[in-house]
Amino acid sequence: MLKQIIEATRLSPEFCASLLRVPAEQFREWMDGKRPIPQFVVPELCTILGVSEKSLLARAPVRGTDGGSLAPAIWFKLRTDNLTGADRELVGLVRRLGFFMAQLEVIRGIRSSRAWRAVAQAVLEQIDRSAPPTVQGRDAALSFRAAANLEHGQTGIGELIRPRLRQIGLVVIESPIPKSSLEGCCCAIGPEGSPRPCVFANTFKSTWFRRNEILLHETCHAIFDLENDPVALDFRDQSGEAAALSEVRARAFTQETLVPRSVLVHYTNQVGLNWQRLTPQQLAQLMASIHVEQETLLRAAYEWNFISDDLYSQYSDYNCGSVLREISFHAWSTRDFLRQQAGESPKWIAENRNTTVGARSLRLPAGYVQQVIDTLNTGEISVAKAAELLMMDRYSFAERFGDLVAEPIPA
Amino acid sequence: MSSPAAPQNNPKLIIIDSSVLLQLIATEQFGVLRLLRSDFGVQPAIVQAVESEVTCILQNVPKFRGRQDQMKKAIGNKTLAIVDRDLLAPILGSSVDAWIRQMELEGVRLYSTVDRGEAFTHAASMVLNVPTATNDTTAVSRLLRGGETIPRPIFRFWDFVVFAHQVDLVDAGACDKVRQFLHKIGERLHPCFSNCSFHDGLPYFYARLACANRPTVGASQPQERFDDRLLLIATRSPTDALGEPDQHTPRNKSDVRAE
Repeated sequence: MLKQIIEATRLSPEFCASLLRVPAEQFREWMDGKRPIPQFVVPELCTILGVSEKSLLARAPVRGTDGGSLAPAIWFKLRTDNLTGADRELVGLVRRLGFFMAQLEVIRGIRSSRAWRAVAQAVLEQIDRSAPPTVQGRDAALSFRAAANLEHGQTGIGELIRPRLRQIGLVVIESPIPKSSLEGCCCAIGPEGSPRPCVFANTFKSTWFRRNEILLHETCHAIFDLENDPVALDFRDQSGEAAALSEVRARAFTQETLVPRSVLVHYTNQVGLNWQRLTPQQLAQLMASIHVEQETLLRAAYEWNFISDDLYSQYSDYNCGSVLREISFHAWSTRDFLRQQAGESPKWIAENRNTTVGARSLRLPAGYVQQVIDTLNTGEISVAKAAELLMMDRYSFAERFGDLVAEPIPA
Repeated sequence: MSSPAAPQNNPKLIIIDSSVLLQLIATEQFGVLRLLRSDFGVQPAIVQAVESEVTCILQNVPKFRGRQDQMKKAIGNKTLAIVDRDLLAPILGSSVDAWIRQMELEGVRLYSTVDRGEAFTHAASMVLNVPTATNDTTAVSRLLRGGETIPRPIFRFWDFVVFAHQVDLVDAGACDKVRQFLHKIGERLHPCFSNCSFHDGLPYFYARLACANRPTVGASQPQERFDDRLLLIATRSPTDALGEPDQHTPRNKSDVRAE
C-alpha cells in the first residue's frame, strides 16, 4: 500500500526518504515491495502520512479506485492544484515535527492536547450554531479571549498570541515558503492517539501584524472545523472561498479577538483620540499599539461606529508603513528583526533554528528548541535524540548547540 | 567495574552503533572487524536503522561524504552483518521470528528517549544479550537511568583500535595517524588521546576489548564508568601475531545468551 499512498499524497519518494532520514533507494525498495517496511520507520511514517499501521503494511493493492481516493484524509485536500510541491512538503515537515513534539511531551510528562480540548470545548459551548457566522465568530472570540487568558488590560495582544496559543496546546509555526500562495493552514498533527492542532503562517513577504491575524484565523478553524475537516487552507487570494461560512466566521473571530470595542475605547480615552480627524501618524501609532493591520483596525472602528463610510475610505488610503517601521520593530522585515535579535539573544534563536529536508527548510519554534536543550541537559534524552528531535544530524547539532549542552557531546 | 572471572566463550555478535561505525569507516579500520570475525568468531553487526542512518550521513555530511562504497563492501563481504533473519536464524533456530519481533518492540519502546539508531541497537543488544559498541555515553546513561539492563562491556571506537594494536594488526604509528585524522575532521577524541600521541595516551586507556592470547596493553585498572573488560580467545589458528593465551591475564564475566 505504501506506493499507492505516497502517489496519492503527491509527495515525491525522494522527499519522503529525506524526511524519514533513509536512503532514497531503500525507500523505493519499500514502495516497490522488494523489501518489507522495517519497524523502525513505521511509527514516524504512520504519523506523517496520517494512516494506521495496518493500512501502511497492508499488502493487497486496492482495485478499481483512482489514486486520489487512496489519499489519507489529511492529504486528500492537499492534492489540490492550488498548492505547490513546496506547500505539500512543508506540511510533511510540519507533521514530522508534530511526531517529535509528541515524543518530547511524553518524555517531559506533559499532555498539551488535553489543555487544548478544554479550551476548544469552553468556546464551543457558548456558540449558537444557528446564528449568523459573524455572530458565531464574535461570540467565540469573547469566550476565547477569556479561556486563553487574553483579556487582561484592554491593550494589544499581538505579543501574547503565540505564547498563549502554545500554552493551551496549539503548535504554532511561522516559517517561509517562497513562491507559495498559501498564507496559513491548520491541521492536526501527532500520533493517532493524541492529535493536536497545528496552526501555520507563511512568513514569506508577510508582516508580523498580518501573521497575528493569520494565526488567529487558523485558530478559529482549529476550534470549529478541524473535527470534520482534517486540514484548513488559506491562500493569499481567496476570493472564491471568502463567502464560505467557516471563512466569514474565522474573519469575525480574528477581528474580535484582536480589536474588540473595549480596546478601541481604551486607546481613544488614553490618548484623547479624535476619530474624525485621525492623522497617518496617529493611525500608525494605533496599529503599533493594538498589533493589527490597518485594514482590520479600520474595519473594526467602522463596525463599532467610531468612523463613517467616508472616513473609512479616507483612512484606508493613508500610507502608514514608514511611520510604523519607525515606531514599532514588529514592522521590520523578518530578516531585519532576526538581525537585530542576533545582537540581543543567543545566536541559536536568530540563526540556528532552521532545519532542512531536501530543498525544504522549516524554522523551528524557539520555545521547542529550548525545551529540547533543557531536556537534554537534565539527562532525560541522549545527545543524538536531541539532534533527532530538532530534525538535524548530530554534527549540525554539535556545531550549533554544543555550547549550550552541559555534558560534552560525544564523538 | 571489572572483576576477575572464569574464562567464557566469545560472544557471537557485537552490535555497533552509528557513532562507532562512522569512525571505523572514516579511518578505514575494517581490518579489525575482519579479524574479530575470522580469528575470534565474533561477527560485528549493525541494525537496519543504523544502516539507513549511516548511509544517509555518508551521503550528506561533508566530512564523511564519498565513503558509501566502504560500507557497501563491508556488508557485501560479511565483515559487517545486518541484524536480520538471515544472520540470526543459524544462531537462534526456529524461534528467530519471535526474537526479531521482541527486538522490534523493544526498539520502539526505547525510541522515546534515545534516537532511532541507538534505540534499535540497544534493543538488539539487550534482547540477544550481546555487547554493543557506542561512543555515546549520554544514551547509555539515559537508558541505565531508566532502569534498562545494558549488556557489558560497552565498547568504544578506541577499544577496536587498541585491540588491533594489541594483536599487532596495526602499529602505534598507524594508531596515531587514526587519532590525528579524527582530530582533523573534528571528531571528538577519547580524553586519553585528545592532547597527546597514541603512545603517550595508551597507558591511561583501559581497553574494554582485549585478546586473551596476548599481553594486555593500556591501563591495568579501570579508569572510568562502564570500564569492564572482555577477553577474547582466538578460535582458529590465527595469524602469527597471536600466540597462546596469556596465563597472567584474568578474564571477566561476559554472559552472552547468543552463545
